[in-house]
Amino acid sequence: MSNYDQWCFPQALVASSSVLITHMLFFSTLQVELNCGIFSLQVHFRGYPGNILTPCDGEDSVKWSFINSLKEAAYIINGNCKNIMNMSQSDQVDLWRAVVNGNLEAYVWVSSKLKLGALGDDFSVKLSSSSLKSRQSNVETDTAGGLKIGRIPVRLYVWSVIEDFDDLEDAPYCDSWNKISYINRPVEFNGEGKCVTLLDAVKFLLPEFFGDNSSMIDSTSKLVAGDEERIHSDESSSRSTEESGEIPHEEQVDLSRPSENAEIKLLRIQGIEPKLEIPFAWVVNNLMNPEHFLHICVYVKVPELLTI
Amino acid sequence: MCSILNFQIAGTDKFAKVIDFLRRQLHRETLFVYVNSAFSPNPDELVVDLYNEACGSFPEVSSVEYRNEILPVDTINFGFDGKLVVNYACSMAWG
Repeated sequence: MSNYDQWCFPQALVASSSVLITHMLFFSTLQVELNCGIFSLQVHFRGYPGNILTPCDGEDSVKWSFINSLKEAAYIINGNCKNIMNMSQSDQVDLWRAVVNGNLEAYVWVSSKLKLGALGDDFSVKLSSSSLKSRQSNVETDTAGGLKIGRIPVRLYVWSVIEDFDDLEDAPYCDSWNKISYINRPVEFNGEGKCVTLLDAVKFLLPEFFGDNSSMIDSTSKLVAGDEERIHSDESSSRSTEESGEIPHEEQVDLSRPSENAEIKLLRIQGIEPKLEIPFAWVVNNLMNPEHFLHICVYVKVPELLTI
Repeated sequence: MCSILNFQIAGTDKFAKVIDFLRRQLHRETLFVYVNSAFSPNPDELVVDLYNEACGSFPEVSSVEYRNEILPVDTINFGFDGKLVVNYACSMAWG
């Protein structure tokens, strides 16, 4: 079981945390180190974290992992994986060859058959947090009534720091994957609304940091309430967290009191730093990864890390 | 007939813990683990995120239900009672 996402860490994440790239490529018997000028690349052929990453047996295992991520995205978007499961063998091969060769035209042709596109070019949508109970019917309404309802799969790599810094070069050095909060949360849309910007979406995704000032998001209180419950259940697991030596990260922030002065210091998608004012739909349509996840790397500066 | 076992796991745990647990229980090195018979998540995804992906809401209880058989996706009624349904197979399923 190889792991496509860790084979394909967003470049921004890698660039901001060179240690992560040491976890990227694993084979069997050798250890090679090479410098590619931008950052140091270490390839470990043994001694890697086998519970998280498993050996790559070849291209097929990477392909399998890619298709799996695609299924996960389809599941989030449609509530099932039928579109992926029903792909013909030749379409599956074509899709994979397009990804491997970076052939956008071929990729767009095959992926359009999967019908996973949730957003048009009209950027007016309304964020919401729907439950599954309404999701199934939402999908139907979507096809019948043409309403903009849907979920965008997002993988977030959040690094919260207390220290302030003006220049990214002065940012605290991130030397461990454990310091990054790897969060998978969909952005949910529900009907017509105002133009949602990238900033709105990030605030929606991270109520722990921005839950108090996003009044346009009608589900904020629910999200925060849900997180409170999550924190309480965390208490029972705090011992294992201590044992594993993990440093405090955002799950241990007091979620019932969103940080008033949380600040996005840096946000990168596909290695670029898009302006936070640009419409989220544009970001999704243009910066989504081939497996239909939007990978967002974000540095968040928080006033203090509060623990319960 | 499938056997269904229920276990509790913290939402903040990674899915890798579920996989490790099943590997130990079944004494198998290679195991293919699926959520809702649909997809095989990354081992470092949080259980709570998977729950939300599968069920679309925030859980009050994060428990995991293990089933050792393969069911069509449509036949599973999942997620409404604070459970994340995890299926496993000893050989790869669902292409």
